[in-house]
Amino acid sequence: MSWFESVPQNPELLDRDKFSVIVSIADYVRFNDGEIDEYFHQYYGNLTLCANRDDLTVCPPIIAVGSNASTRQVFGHKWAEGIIQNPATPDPLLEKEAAVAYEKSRDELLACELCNAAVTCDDGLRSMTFMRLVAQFRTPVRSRKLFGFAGVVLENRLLN
Amino acid sequence: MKREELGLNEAPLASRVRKLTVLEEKIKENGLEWIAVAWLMDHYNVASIDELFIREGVYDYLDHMENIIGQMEK
Repeated sequence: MSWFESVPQNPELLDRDKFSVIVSIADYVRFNDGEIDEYFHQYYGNLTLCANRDDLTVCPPIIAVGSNASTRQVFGHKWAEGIIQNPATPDPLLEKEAAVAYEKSRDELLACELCNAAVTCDDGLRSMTFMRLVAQFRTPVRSRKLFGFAGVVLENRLLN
Repeated sequence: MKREELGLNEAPLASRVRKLTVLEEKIKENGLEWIAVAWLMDHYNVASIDELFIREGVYDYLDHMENIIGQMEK
């Protein structure tokens, strides 16, 4: 049993208290047109950073996971510390279905969605509802592109 | 980037300043300076860059920063 459903959202219309993590990152990206500057550290802790890839039929490889990133909360510290060796989440369906938002953020800078999915975790399959933001960042000197993912988990319960 | 270029095979105390200088230059060349700084500040839970660089142990993570740069360059 697996599923992934998503509904596009406008981050400017989200509740700024409930989704402060997503709204603040969206504001930062819009203000800087995606360019990383000295204030990036204020947002890094909530981000999962991914390298840029031409092929976005699956999620791009993860290169760093912030200490408060939603992926770290969901998949654990051990997984986060192992991303250099295995730079992906443990859920193949999520890797495939979530890729659409990366493609959208490549075109539009930001992609925000309310998602409902069955996610494979260490303790089994979980039903999760979460708001997620995928943003495209670029480095200041060489304009290298990379993606940042931030999520707010609204529901997380074990299915089996 | 080879370990020798970062001075990682030198005696720890004598080479700390050199390691950091070389690493900072390498990071800037790649335009990744703020990512590396953000990663370290988050890891050590510090509020300023100055506070970061006086922390003991920060040099232990040079290898990890190398890996981040390596991943970005693939």
